This record gives sequence, C-alpha cells and structure tokens, in this order.
Amino acid sequence: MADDTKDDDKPRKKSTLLGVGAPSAEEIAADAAAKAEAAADDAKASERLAERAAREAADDEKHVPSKVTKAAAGEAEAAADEAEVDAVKARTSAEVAKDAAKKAAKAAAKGDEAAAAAESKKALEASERAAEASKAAKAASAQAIEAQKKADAARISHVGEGEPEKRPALYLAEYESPEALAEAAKKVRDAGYEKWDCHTPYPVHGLDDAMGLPPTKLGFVSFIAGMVGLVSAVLMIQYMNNWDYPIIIGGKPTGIGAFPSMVPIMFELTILLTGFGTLFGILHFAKLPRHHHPIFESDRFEAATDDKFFISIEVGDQKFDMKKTRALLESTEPSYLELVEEEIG
Amino acid sequence: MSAAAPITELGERSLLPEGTTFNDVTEAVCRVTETKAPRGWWILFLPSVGLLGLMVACIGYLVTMGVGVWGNNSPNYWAWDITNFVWWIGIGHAGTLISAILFLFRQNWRTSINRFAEAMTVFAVLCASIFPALHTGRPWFDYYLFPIPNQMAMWPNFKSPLMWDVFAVNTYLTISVIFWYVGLIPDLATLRDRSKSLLRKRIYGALALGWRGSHRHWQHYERGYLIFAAISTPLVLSVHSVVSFDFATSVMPGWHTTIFPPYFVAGAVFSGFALVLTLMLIVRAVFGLHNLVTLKHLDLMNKFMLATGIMVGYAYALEFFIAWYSGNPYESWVFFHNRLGFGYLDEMGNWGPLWWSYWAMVSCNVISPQLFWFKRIRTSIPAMFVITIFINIGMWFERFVIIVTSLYRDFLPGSWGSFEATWVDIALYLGTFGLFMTLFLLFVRWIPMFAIAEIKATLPHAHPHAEHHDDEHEHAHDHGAEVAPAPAE
Repeated sequence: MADDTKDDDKPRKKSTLLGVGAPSAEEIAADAAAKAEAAADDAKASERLAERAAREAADDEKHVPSKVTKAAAGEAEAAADEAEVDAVKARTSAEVAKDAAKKAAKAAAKGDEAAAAAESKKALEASERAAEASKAAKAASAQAIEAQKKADAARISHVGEGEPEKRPALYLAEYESPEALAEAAKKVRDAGYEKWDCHTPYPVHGLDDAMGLPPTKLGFVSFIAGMVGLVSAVLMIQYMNNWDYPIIIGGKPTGIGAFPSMVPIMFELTILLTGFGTLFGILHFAKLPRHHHPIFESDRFEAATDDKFFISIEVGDQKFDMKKTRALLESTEPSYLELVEEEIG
Repeated sequence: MSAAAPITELGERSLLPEGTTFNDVTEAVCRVTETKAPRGWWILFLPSVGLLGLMVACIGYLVTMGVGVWGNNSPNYWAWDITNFVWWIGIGHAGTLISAILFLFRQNWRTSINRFAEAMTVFAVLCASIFPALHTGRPWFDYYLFPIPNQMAMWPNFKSPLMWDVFAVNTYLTISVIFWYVGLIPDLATLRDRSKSLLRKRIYGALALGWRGSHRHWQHYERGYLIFAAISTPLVLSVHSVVSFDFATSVMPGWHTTIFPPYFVAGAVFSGFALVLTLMLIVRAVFGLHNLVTLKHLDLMNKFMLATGIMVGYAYALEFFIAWYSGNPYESWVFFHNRLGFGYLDEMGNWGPLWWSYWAMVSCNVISPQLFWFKRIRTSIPAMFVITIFINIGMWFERFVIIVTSLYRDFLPGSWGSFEATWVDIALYLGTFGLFMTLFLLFVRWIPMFAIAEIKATLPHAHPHAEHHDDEHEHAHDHGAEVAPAPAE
C-alpha cells in the first residue's frame, strides 16, 4: 500500500518542465502558481499517508508492546509531524504564488511590464519553495511508512508464539536430589552440549567431573596478584625510606639494607593483593555481577537457592534443538521441565 | 568438605538433628530476617544504641579536650587505650580462625558459627581501630600513618613496628570484609529469592550480584574460598604477632620476650572464642536457633577454649621461669614485684600496688577454663556462659597487666608512679561495646547469620555418593573408604 503511493507520486513531479516558446511574465506567473498549487496538494497527500502510517505503527505498539515497536511508532509519529509542518509550508507558499500570479495578471493588464516581471519572479520563487516543502513532506512520509513497516514486521514476527514479546532462551529441568542431578549432568555432557549449566543451592561435589569442566585458573590470578603485592611492598619501602627520603637512624639504613624490617609489610601487602586478586578473579571468571539473566524468568528457579537442583541448556548452544533437547532432558526424568523465554529488546 | 559424613565406627553422629532437610536450614536462617524482631532483640538493641551514643560523645569530648582526659600519664603512656585495642583485635581473631583455619582442617562443625564469628571479626577490628586512631593525639592527622604524599614531603618510617601494625590491621580488616562478603553472596541470593517485597528483592538482589547457583560459578567460588582460607590463616597469625611486636621489639622488661607472638595469638583465639560463645548463647536463646547451634557445637568450642587457655597459662608460667632463670634483676622485678606481688619488695617493703590485676588475670584465664575438663560443665549452658564472661574479663586484664604493670614501677625515679583510669577511659571502652553490639544486632537482624549454603553442604545427603547408593551395606562401606584419607578429593 505504501509502496504504491510512492510510485504514484513520481510521475507528477516531472510536470515541472516549462512550456515551449517564450511565455509572457503573466503566463510564467500563472504557471508557477499552478505548480505551487499542485505541490501543496502533493504535500497534503504525503501528510495524510504519514499520518496513517503513524496510526498503524501506534496500533502495532499497542498490540505488541516491545522496545522495537515502541521505537518504530515513535519514529513514525515524528515523521508524520514533520510531514504536517512541510504540508503547511507548501500550502503557504502556494498561496503566495497564487497572489503573485494575480498581481502579475493585473500588472500585465495595465501594461506595467516591469511590475508583472517582478510579480512573476515572486511567484516562481514561491512555487519553488512549495515544491521543496512538498519534497520534504514526501520524504517524511516515506520515513513514516518505513517506520510503520518496521513496527509491522516486529508485530508479525511475534504472532503465533502465544506470548508475542518473548523468545525461547533455555530449557530448565528441575531435580529433587543431587544424585539425580549428577546423573542428568553426565547425560547432557555426553550429548555434547556446551552452553549449559547446573544450578545448586550449595557446591555439589563431583559435579566438576559430571559436567566435564576443566579445572579453574583462579589460582594463577591470585598468585600473580600476590606477587605484585610483594614486589610493590619492596619497591614502596625502598623508594620512600631510601631513595626519596632516606631515613638513617643510628647510622643504619632502611629498606633493602635492613631487610628483616621489611618482611611484615611485604607479607601484608602480598596477602592484601592476593585477596583482591581472588575476589576480582572470581567475579571475572563467573562474569558477575550480572543482574539480568533469562533464567530468572522462571518462578520455579527461585528454589535453586533453597532446596532444588536444576540443569539449564541455552538456545545459543550449537546442538540445541527444540525437540531433541527436550527429549534428552525428559529422558533424565526431571521433576519439572520448562522452556524459559526471555523478553526481547 | 568431602568428609561430611560422620564416622559411625567412632561413634560420630550428624552435626544437625537427623532428617534435617535443605529447606529446614533455609527456613530457620531466613526466618530471622523476615519476621518481626523478637522482644529480646529490642531489649539488647536500645541500650546498645545508647552506648554507641556514649562512645560518640566521649570521642567528641576527647577530640575537643585532648588525650589528657585519659588516665595515661608518665610513666604509663600506654594504658587502657592500647589494652582495649589489643583486646578488641584479639576478639576478632576467633572469627578468622573459625572461618579459615577450621576450613582448611575440614572441621565441618564450623559452618554453624563461622558467619557469626566473621561478622564479629569485622566489628571488633572496627572497634579496635578507634583507640590507636585517637591515641595519636591529633586524629585529624591520622593520614600520616599511610604512605601518601603529605605537605611535609615525609614518608612513614617502615622500620617502626607501629607502621607494621597499620598495615597488618588494615589488611586484616579488608581481607576479613572481603572473605565475609564472598561467603555471603549465595546466602544473599537465597534471601533475594525468598523476598516478598520489591524493596527487599532490590537490595538483596543488588548485593547478591545476580548469583544463580551455577556450578560453573561454584567451581571458581570454591577455589576462591580455599584461597581466602589459605591466605587468612597466615594473616591471622601475623596480625597478632605484629601487634605483639609493638611490645616485643622494645627493650622494656616485661615486653622484650620472644614468646610474645605465639602467646598473643593463642590469647587472641582464646578470648575470641569466649566472646563468640557469649554472644552465640544469647542469640541462640533470643531467636530460638537450638537446632543449628547444638550442644555438640558448644561442646567443641569449649574444648577449644580449654586448649587455648592451657597454652596461655603455659606462656604465663614460662615468662616467670625465664625471669627467674635469666637472673636478670630488671626482668625479675617486673614479674615478681610489679605483677605477682611476691618476692621482690620495694624499699618501703611494699608489693606492686596493681598485683591484684595479675591475679584477676590468672584466675579468669587459667583457673576458670579448667572446669571445661568436665563434660557436664562443657554441656551446661549457664556454666559456660559464666566461664566465657570470666575469660573475656581475664583476657582484658592480661593486656592491662602486660602494658601497665610493665610501665608503672620503672627503673628511674621519674618513672615511679601508678595508674588510675578516668571516667573517659571507662566510658569510651563501654561505648565501643555500643558500637560493636549495634553493628552486631543489625547484622543478626538483616543478614543471614548462618552460612546457609555451607550448612547445606554438610548435611548427610548433600553429595552424590559412589555408584551403589541403593545398597545399604555398600553405602556404609563407601563412607568408611571415603572418610579415612581426608584429602583424597
């Protein structure tokens, strides 16, 4: 529908070519006025189209509230407003051109060639302005239509899934005991999944193997952080008490020259930085803090920090398949199985 | 924690009552933060806030008037302030010992008391740090303590044991807070998931960092926890050792002894356990948590106090032996005249006037814990409550004895004096109890005071056993094989 109007608009625009021969000022003015009138009509039509697109986009948003439809509806409305402004501009210019054409005709009737020429020039300018405004209105209308199409697309893509604003994120299977969980984990591991996880209220032993996890590298991070602490303690004391401002008491140096006195602070800074390294290491490897995760969409999942055990398999996994993955999880006899969906946007 | 299962052959039983489920643990711990505070909580809380106000008023008075409002004066330039500092730091040590050292030794019973004790560590160190901060005299210049550039273009002297103390105590506080918080993350997530109101969900949710019990996270988390325990163990030993260096590196008779570091650490653990137990008994009664902190836990803690009490008694005895055996008259003077009040008399034929503080220390710290040899005492709540309070008093006197009785009858005519505490000394000390108890009661009320996840992991059915778990006979056999070599997993 929107495309059709676009095509219709184009041929009309070509009518701006001048006629043959040498027209009089009166004729030129009349012609310009007519063209301005046509441009204003075009702009008005564009405005109407834009308005319709905006209405439809708003309708889409109402049916499928999501970030995408909201953005599209907003865009369409803004474009429609723009088109309206342009249409008003075009109409005003058309009025000016018409007025100028009338004055040119009067001047021509009086035989005042110069005045007629001036008026005709005015009419031409006004006509040009009207044409420009009309063009802008058309562009705005095209924008509105484009936005409306986006809104339509977003709406259509959600129809037929029950809850249109969501898309599947992961399968969540619940188990009653750590034994059942470990057995299920082995099956999922052997099926070759990678983006999956076990969720337990406390660290269940033996799950590392059951999940086939490689050993953690946290120790390296802590160790390096600790060594940084050790070295910085030595450098700090040596710099402050020996290089920058030597403190010599009883002819005895401070810093590396009096090594035993450095040991307590070397030790404390090693511990301090190991602690920070370990804390940030855990957060880094676990990709925490992360307050939004699709798994929290499930109400059942609240028991994961109480007394239930869960396995989740994410849609993003290479092997994920709505039916096969479900069948695999069903074969592990979970006490509950759910397809968790996440909101889009 | 693989040795979670009790060794039935040795007569061991589960720590928590038979049939405790995961949900029971969640309920028992979370309920405290979700229901209205019991009356007992308010009865404790309001006086605590009052004492906190007293502390603030005292600090204001002291800062306005100067440290002269304390009783410290020649020859006792250190007195109650440093006594209180050492006492509070010592209290904190039990927390780290329980959370770190007992973790490394796989003592699962610690799970019922570790969160509690860790919180006490943090609050006790905060209370402790007030005293040296004020003792500097002009606390607004306390930033000179840190290695940051200042207008005098001078750096701290890193050869000074007091500087080591600054680093040791600050590291200790920082690491204790981090360790405590890391342990809290899964439990805050539990509170988040149980929250009914949006506000609770938001606050606990933000603090829980989006924890979702993922085993991929647990894997790093557990390793991290182990590393924290491994670094906290030498840390806790170092902190009180460094505190003891404040004394031991000086050449004061009574202070200048090599036994100080281990002696201070043992004393710290001793006093810390005592205060943990005192508070634990109160909280247990107020919130009805008898199933989480059982008599078995209390019995084990009492054994700890007995052991550390004997170590402390040994240190006291050894100091006297060395004072005598060294033949050093100054050392002997401090121990026999200033402290014991026996043997060395001054020219007027008098004993040191503070001899009673020494005897208060010995009777509270060495004699009273001997009652814990008897199982009836170890399992009697009124008895242990009284004894722990005695120990707390005795350990305060220990620091008082070390500091004041070494200084008050010194070896120059100008160093011959005595010590009397002023009302500011007393009120500020009481005030720090207000700070401690206020923080502690808020903690008890709003933060899970037991390590929920860790307790769950110690339940008998917490971990999948080897293949044949249907077969009872095989099952028992598995246990034996699993438990014997503890570090197998």
